Amino acid sequence: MKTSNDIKPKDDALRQLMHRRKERRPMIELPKEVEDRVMERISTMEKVSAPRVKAVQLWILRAMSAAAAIACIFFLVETMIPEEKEEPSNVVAKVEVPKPVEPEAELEKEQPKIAEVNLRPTQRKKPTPKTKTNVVASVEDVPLAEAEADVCIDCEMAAMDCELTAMINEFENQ
Amino acid sequence: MKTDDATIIAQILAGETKEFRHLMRRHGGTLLACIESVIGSREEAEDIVQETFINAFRSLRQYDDSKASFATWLHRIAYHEALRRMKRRRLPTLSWDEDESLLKYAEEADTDDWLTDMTEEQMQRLDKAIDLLPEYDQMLLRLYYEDDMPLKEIAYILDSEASILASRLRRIRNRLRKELQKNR
Repeated sequence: MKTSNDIKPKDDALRQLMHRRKERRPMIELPKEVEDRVMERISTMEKVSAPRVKAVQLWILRAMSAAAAIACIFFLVETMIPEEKEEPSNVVAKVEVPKPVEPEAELEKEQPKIAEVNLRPTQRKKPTPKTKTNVVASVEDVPLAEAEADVCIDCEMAAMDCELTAMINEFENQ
Repeated sequence: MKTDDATIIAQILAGETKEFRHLMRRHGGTLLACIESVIGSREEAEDIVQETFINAFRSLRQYDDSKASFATWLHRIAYHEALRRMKRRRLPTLSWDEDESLLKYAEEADTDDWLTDMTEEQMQRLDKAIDLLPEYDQMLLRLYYEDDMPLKEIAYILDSEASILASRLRRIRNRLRKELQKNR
């Protein structure tokens, strides 16, 4: 279906008149000077654009080369440098082995200190004079206690040996 | 054998820029006449046509022959160049929208009876009435009646819509009819 866009003017008086006006009008040609000016500007545009295009292409190549070089360096750095291994920990968890200390000696050793720490100055009692009965085991007495304990153990071991020897003899004599 | 515009354009895009001169010779005269009728100055019209061809060369790769013919495409570039210059110089611009002087002719129905069986005297009076029209109305009449260009193409040139141009043509005809009846 034809629309107003496709309809051409009727061949009426107005159209005929317009065609007569066109025929009456002298044919105009574009002056040669205008043509020459246009062609001159076109050639100038071409001369400017050619080196500019080359410069742009060169810049792109250089940018790509630089990017490739950086990528290579990065890759080499990542692969060549060994990873820093974590040093194996030689430190073994220290297990504190408590010293075999007489519990009574330990307690007696700490008591005077605790007594001094816990008490505030206002609460501190007057120091009682030391007597024979209330003398606590000093540090110097600890080795003696240990030695006495060791002697007791030796005695026991000796006693056990005797018993064992006796048993063996009895067995052989059977 | 005359080479068509598409062949010449292909040669130019392939690198033979010297062929552009053939396009200028083919379309330059028509373009110059059209712009001169709008601008009113030959010197100004030549500048506009020069800029038109340079812009056309720059945009040649974007030209799409499926949308419009090369002549129509050139007219469009020329029109916009003329509009730009007129706006810069604060001259009355080519307003293709509502024209107050023609609004009063919009209400009447467009009948072509008055264009039939016209005497020579009436034709001469009509000729003078057309000369009194604004330049842009004369341009529209030229493109539509002289070049037999479809409204769709004219709308492409003038960056308008075919329906708006159709309405304007109706108003122009009504005005001419009124002028003709007034001068009887």
